[in-house]
Amino acid sequence: MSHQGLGEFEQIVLLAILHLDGEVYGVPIVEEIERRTGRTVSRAAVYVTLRRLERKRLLSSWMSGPTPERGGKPRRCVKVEPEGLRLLRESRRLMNDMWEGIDSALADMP
Amino acid sequence: MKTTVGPPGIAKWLLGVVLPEEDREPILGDLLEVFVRRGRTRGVARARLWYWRQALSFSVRFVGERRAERKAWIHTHGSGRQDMGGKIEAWGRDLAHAVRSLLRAPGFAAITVATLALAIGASTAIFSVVNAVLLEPLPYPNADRLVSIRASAPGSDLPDEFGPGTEFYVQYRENATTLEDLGLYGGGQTTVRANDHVERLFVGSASPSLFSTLGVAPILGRLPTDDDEEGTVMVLSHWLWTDWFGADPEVLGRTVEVSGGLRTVVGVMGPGFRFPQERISIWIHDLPTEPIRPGGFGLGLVGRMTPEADHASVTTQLASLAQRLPERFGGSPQYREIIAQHRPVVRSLEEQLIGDIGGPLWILLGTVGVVLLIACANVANLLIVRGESRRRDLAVRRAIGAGRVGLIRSQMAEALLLAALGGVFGVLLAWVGVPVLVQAAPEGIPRISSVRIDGTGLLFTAGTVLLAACVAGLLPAIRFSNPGLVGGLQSAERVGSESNHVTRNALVVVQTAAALVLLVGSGLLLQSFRSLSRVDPGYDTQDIFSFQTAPNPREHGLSDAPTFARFHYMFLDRLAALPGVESTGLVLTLPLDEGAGLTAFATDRTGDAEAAQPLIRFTGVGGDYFQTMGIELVKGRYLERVDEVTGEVDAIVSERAAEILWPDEEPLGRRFRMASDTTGNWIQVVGVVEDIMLEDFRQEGPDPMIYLPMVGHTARSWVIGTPAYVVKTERAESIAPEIRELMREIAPEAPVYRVFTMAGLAARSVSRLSFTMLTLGIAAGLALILGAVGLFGVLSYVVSRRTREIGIRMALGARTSELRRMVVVQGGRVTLIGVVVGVAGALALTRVLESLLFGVGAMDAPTFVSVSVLMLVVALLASYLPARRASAVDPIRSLRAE
Repeated sequence: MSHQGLGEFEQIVLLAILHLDGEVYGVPIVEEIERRTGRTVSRAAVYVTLRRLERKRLLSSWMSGPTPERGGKPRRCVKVEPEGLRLLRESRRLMNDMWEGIDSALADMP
Repeated sequence: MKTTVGPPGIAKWLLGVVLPEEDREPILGDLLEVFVRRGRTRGVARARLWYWRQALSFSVRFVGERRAERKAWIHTHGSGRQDMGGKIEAWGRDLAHAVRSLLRAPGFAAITVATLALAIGASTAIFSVVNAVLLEPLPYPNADRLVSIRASAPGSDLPDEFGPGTEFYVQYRENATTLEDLGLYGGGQTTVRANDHVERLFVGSASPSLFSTLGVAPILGRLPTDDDEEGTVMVLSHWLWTDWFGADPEVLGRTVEVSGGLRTVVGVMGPGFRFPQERISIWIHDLPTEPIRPGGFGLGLVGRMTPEADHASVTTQLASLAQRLPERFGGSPQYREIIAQHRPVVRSLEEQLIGDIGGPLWILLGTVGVVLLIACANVANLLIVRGESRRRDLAVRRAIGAGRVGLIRSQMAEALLLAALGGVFGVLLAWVGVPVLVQAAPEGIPRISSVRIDGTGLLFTAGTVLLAACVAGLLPAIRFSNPGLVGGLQSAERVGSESNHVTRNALVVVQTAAALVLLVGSGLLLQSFRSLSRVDPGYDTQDIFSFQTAPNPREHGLSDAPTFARFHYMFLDRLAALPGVESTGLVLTLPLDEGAGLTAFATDRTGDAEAAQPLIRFTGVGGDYFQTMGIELVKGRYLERVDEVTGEVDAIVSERAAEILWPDEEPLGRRFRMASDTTGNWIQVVGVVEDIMLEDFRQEGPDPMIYLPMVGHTARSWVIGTPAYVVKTERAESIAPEIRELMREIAPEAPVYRVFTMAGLAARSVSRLSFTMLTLGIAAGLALILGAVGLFGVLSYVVSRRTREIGIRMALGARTSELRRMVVVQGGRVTLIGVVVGVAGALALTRVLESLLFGVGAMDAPTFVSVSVLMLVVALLASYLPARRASAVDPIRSLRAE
C-alpha cells in the first residue's frame, strides 16, 4: 500500500468521530465539528471525506436499521480503523515535531 | 408542531441522480433528519431553501469526487479498456480544447457561427412551418380514416371539381356501408351581432353529424343534435368565446344574431378546432335536409371510413349510390345529365385541407436546405484554411503518438462546437423570425396560426446541427489526420498541399452550383411576377377603395330590393360628395375577393329547352360601378338607377357571355332569365362590357359575366343587401377614416368591414407567388454572398500561398496586369465549372416551380443565361481583390520572407 498522509480536513473528521460515542453517523459528526470549531462546515465535504477515508480503509462503516423519522432510510455508522488511528498519531507527531521550539516566537508576534 | 411538507422534490431527485448508489439512502436519510429538525425550529420555507443548497453542494462535490475516482482507476488500470465514461471524457477534453482555441480566433469563430446560425435558423423556421402545416396529423381521432368527398362531372360545363349538394348527403349517409359517419357543412361571411359587437365573420353551417364524424367534443355545453330545430342553435369557436364573451362560462343559453336570425349558444369548442378553416367563428345548425331540392351544389362532405374501407372502395360505392339520386329525388333533365356524368372525388381530409400549399412549402424547405449546404461548404473551407495553419501542431501531435481517431475527434469537436453555437443562435433567429414569417405568409394557409418552435422543431435543429458539423467538419478532419502529415513536418513545408487545393476548389464549385440553382429559381419567379403584373384583368386596380357595411335592417326599414336600393343610392351620393371622390358604385361580389355566383341561364334563343342552358357567373351592380372600376362599355348603355319594381328589368352582359348566350348574334335587346326563375319574366340586355378576371390574374382567360340591376321583377326576386361599395379616388389609401365617420352619421350601428384597396387585393391575389419569390430571393441573395465569400477566401489563400512564386515572376519582369489575369482566370475557371454544374442542377430542379410560374417556362433560356452571367461577374469581382493583392507583392520582401 502506498504511503498516504492525512489532510487537515481528514484529520478533523477522524477526530470528530473519536470524540463521539454511540451511533456515529453523518449528522452528529457535522454537529461535533461545528460545535468544536465554531464554524459551519460544508456537509457535502464531510460526506465526501468520509467516503474517501473509507476507500483508504482508514474507517469502516455499517448500516443501522431504518427508522420511520428518517423516512425509512438507514444510517451509515462509522468507526475508525487501527490504520486510521496510526495515521492520526503520525500526523500529530509530525506537527508536534514541527511546532517544537517556536511557540514563543509566535507568541511574540503582534 | 408537526411538519407536513417534505423536502423539495426536484432537489431530492437531483440528489438521487448524483449520489453514488451505496451512499444514496443514508445521505438522503441524514438530510431528511436535519431537514425535519430545521423545519421545526426555523420554518419549512427556510428548511426547504437549506435543502436546495445542500442538494446543489452535494451535486458539485460528488460529481467532482467520482470523476477523480474514475481518473485514478484509469491511471492504475491503464487506458486500454476505456469505458463509455472515458470516451465521454475524451470528448469533453477535446471540446474544452476547442473552446480555448476558438477563443483565440474570435474572428474565425464569429464568421463561422454567424454563417451557420443564418442557415440553421432559416431551416428551423421553415421546418416549423412545414411541420405545423403539413406534417402534424389532424387533431381528430383516427384522422387517417377521415375523407373529403367532392363531386366531378367530366364532360359537363361544371368546374373540374365541385361540392356536392344535400341530396348526396342524405343518400350517402343512409346507404354507404363503407362510411361509419358522414357530416355536411357549408359556410361563408355573414353579419354577426352580440354583446355590442357587430362584425362580418366566417360562419359555418354544419349538420350535427359533422361533429360526430370528426370525433370532436365541446369544452363547454353540448353539440347540436338532430332534435334541435334547424336554425335555432349554434356553437361558438374558442376565439370568439374569448374575444367577444371574455371566456364567460355563463355564455350558454345567450342569443346571438347570425344572418338576421337569433340563435342560442349551446356549446363552445376547444381552441384547436378550426374546421373547415382558420377564421371560423361560429357553427350554426342550418342545413335543412327537407325538403330536398336536387342540384344545389357547393357544400362540403366529410366522411369517416370504416376500418376495412379504403378510398377506392368508398369511391366505387358512392359512385353507384349517386347514380340513383334522380330516381329518388327527381330533378331537371340537366340535373339528370350531370348525375349521369358524375364521379365522386374521395381524398383524405388532410390532403383536402392542405390543398396546393404543400408545393411552395416543400420548395422553401428545399431552398433553405441548399443554403445550409452552401453554409456548410463555406465553413468546411474555413476549417481547411484553419487546418493548414495548424498543420504543424497536428503533425507534432501525431508524431508523439496521438491516434488518427483522436485527431479526427479533436477537429470534429471544434466543428461540433461551432455548429452547436450556430444552432443556439439559429434557434434565436428562428424564434424571432417565425412570427414575421407567419405575418408575411399569404392568406389561407391552414393551421398557420399554430406555427411555433416546439420540441419537434428543436429536435430538427439538433439534427441539423449534427448534420452541419459532419458535412462541414468531416472532410477537413479526415484530411488533417492523414498519416502523411508526419512527412509534412519533416520537409518543413510552409504551404498547403495540392490535394487541399483541389478539395477547396470542389467546395467552391458546390457553392457556386447551389447558389446558381437558387438564383435561377428566384429569377424565374421574378419573371412570373412581372408577367402577372402586366396582365389586364379587365378592371383598374389603382385608386379604387372598397368596403362593405351592414346597416341594421330593422332600424332603417330595409326589407326588400327597393328599400335597400334607396338606402344604397343615398349612401352612394353621400360618398360621392366626399372631397376627392371621382365616382362611386356597388357590386354584390367584388372581383378578387368574393368571386361571383354561378347559375344556369335560359335565353330567348334557347327558350326553355333545358338541355342547353349554359352556366354563367353573375352579380348585381348599382351606381357607376363600371366607370369606377374602369370596366369598359363595348356597346349599348349603362344601367339606370332603379329603386322600384317597374316590370322592366335591364341587364348588362360581358362580351364572352354574349358570345355564349347568342353566338354570332347581336346581343343588345336580346332577353334571358335565370333557369331557376319559373315566372316567365325576361331580362333585357341593354349593354355589353369587356370581360374581367374574377378570381386572380393567373386564370387562363377572363370570366363571362352577367350584371343584374338592384331590383328585379318583384321586390324579392333578389335583394342586394350588403354589397361591396367601390370608390374611385386618388386618396384610396387614406380615405377609410372619413368613410367610417360618414357611416357613423348615417348608420352608427353598422360595421365597416372588408376594407380593401383594389391594389391591395391585386397584391393579395399574387401573395403566394410573391411570398415564395421573396423567401427564395432572400435565400438566393444569401447564397450569392456566401458563394462569393467562399471564392474570395480560396483565391486569397492561393495568392498568399504563391507569394514567393509571384515575387519571382515580378522580379523576372512579369507585368502586374498579367499577374492579375492569372489569379482572376483561376477564379473564373472554378466558377465556370460551378456554373455548368449549377445549370444542370437548375434544369433538373426548376420543374418543381412550374405550378407557381406564369408567362415563363421552367427552362427559360434568358433567365439561365443572365443568372449565369451574374454569377460569373460576382465571381470575377470576388477574384479581383486577391488579384490586386497579388500584383502588389513586393518581390524583394516576398523573397526575403522565405
